[in-house]
Amino acid sequence: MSLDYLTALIAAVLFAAAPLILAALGETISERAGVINLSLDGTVLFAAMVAFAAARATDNPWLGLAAGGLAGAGIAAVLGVFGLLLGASELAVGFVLTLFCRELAYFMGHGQARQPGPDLGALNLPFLSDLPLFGPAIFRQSPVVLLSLVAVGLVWFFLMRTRAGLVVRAVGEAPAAAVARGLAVTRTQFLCCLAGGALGGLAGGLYSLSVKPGWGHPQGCEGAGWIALAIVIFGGWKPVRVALGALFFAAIQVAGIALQDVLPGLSGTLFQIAPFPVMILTLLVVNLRRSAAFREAARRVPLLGRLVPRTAGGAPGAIVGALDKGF
Amino acid sequence: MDVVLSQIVKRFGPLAANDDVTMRFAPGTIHGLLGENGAGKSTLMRVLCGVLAPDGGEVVVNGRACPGLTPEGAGALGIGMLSQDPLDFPPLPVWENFALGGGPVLSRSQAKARLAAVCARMGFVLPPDAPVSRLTVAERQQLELARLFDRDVRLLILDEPTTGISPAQKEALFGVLRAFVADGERVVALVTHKLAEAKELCDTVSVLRQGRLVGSFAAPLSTTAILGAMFGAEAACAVGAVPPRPAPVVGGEALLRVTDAVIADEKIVLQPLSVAIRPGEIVGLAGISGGGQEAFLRGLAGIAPVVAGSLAVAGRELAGKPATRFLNAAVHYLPASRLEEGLFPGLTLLDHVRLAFPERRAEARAIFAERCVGRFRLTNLPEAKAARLSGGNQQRLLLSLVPDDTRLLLADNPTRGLDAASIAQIWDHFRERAAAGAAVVFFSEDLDELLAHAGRVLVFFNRALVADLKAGIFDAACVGDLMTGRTVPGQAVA
Repeated sequence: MSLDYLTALIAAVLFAAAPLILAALGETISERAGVINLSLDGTVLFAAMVAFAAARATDNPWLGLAAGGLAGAGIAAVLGVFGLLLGASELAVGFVLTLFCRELAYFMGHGQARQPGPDLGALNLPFLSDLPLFGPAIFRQSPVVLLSLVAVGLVWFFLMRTRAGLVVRAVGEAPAAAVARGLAVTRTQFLCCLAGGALGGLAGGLYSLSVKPGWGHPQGCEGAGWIALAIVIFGGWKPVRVALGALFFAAIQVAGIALQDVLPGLSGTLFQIAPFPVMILTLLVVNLRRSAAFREAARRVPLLGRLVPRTAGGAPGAIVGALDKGF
Repeated sequence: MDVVLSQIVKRFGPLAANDDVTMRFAPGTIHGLLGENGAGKSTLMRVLCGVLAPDGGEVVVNGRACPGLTPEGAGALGIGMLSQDPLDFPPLPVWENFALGGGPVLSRSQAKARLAAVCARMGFVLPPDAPVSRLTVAERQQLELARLFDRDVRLLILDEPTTGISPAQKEALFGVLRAFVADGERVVALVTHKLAEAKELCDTVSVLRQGRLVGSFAAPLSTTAILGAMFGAEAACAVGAVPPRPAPVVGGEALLRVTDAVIADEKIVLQPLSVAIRPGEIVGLAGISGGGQEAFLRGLAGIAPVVAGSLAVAGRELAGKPATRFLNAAVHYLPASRLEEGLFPGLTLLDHVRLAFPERRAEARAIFAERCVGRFRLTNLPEAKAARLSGGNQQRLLLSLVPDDTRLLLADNPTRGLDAASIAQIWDHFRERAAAGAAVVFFSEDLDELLAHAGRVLVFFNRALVADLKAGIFDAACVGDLMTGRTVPGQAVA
């Protein structure tokens, strides 16, 4: 395998993962504050349409991307008003919103279908892009890769190192305790819901303006939101782990494509569907440590304990509460 | 600081949790608030610290009325509460919990410096980077106290602070509280249902019963007068009478034989343990949260799997078998969360009878009349939903569903949250069962209750069975030291 081929593979993985990373980070912020936003898949699709339409209207892909982010925040605001302020079930509202946004996106985007439009182009930063292996994969390709990697750092820093992030985690962990300490629980949750929706909207923009450029029926990003939701759990609600989860999913997808060349005898459909069961199996392995039987086995055979990764971490307390409460 | 609660009324639906309650917290005093479970003590304190808005009456601080008190407002006035279940953020490290003190959020360096300062002043030892979930109950309490002291709280409210901590830790806490009010300006309000604690610590005591203030006493406190106020005159003598402590059972074939068993519950795996329990024994399990006593009970019930070793009931090997095999071996378990784990909230009482005695479904009404009403004095209609039952009636229903031929009865906090009459009925029932040849194994968070009713005590600490004590050789201090790991087991094991 040549170095160039490896670089191309890395570039493909980073490129495919970029919008997934943003969407999953958005959901991470939202859920860390205790709001489950199930409208994520609809948000990504609708924002993809809005971003593409806005980019065509203004002939500026960056304005389009911003419009996508705004659209995402708008959908999250609907969820916030009904779920947080009016007390409806956020699970039910989010679920219905997903279906609604999907229909709305195809209905409103009818005029944009299969039209040519601007996209985000490609970066070519001097010096940096000449670094081996990762240089071209990050700095000499679509700006979405750099954007998504920077977002990982920013979200991690915000959640884990700032005072506002500490408030967000506290609110999501134990809302009752947060109220007792005078923290503005509903406001914090609403703002995090908006921020999460905005990131989901940006993810939609990344799809229609770069990763799966253009608009059509179906758009290539259908289902990405659901994957992102799963990746948040996979990553244990930790921003960096969540990003690694998104990269892992993209890597299996790219590996499927690459293996198709190596093993032409196998059906292409197999490689398309393979990432999903692999994801489920990985989730199982990541969470093996939670099972008492496994811990007992690991106590007897220490090697087992060292082979299996550390548990990703539990769900924020408010999420557990919301799931218990259900619909 | 001088705080007066004036004619406070707080209703939850038809129930008046506080009905026209007036009391004063004078500067420099420790004020006890006594009453049974459900008397309205916690509600009143939550009104005082702004968590609940009263339906009538007002809170007067230093002569000024404070309408519309919020938790932030109360905090700004210097009112702080240490609640019964610690209101903290378990996965977050100690310093982050401290940084979220109630006012502006502190930065990492500020929080660590101030935490160290408060700890040095109060003599607390709290590792700043450890997650709160790893602390003991007493340490979580200290963290909350450190947070409140750092915010310069003037009126400190403590809700049942001695639940789940050892007698030695209790003494340390009381020392901190005495020092707190020593300046003659600060006030402590201590909510408790334990008269002994109030007598030890409090300068003045107010007694609530069914939401009403029924008595106020100043030191020296008289036990009979306070008991009379707490339970009503006629109940006081019934409560005061100490039941005979069951004699230890010796000899005879063991009913339950556990040998080197490893019990793996959802959250914890116990160290291998061996124990034998004979028919007729009433065995109390002592331990603080995380000690493993609940997991042990669930292991005996077949809910938590026994992954290694052996567990035999009446000679039948049950390790690794499903819970139904335990039921068939006449093992019964009464869970601590009665409504969540023991009952089906949406089903009627009659449905519960049908589920418990499936082969006698047709006679459900007769069984209900005979067992639930006749024997356990359950006052609800058979068509009522289980969710509507009070705590005492939930436990009565659960007990009446336990078959008569049960040989091993396991109970996790059987009296938690119940009124005095229900508690007495439950212990009488357990003694009857034991006299009839069953073995009873129970865990209670209340160490005094545990020692009063157990004929034998198994002490758990840090996921291991550390001591097996026969009646007569244990007292509260020795068990308390064992269950908090202050005494190394070995010499104490009988």
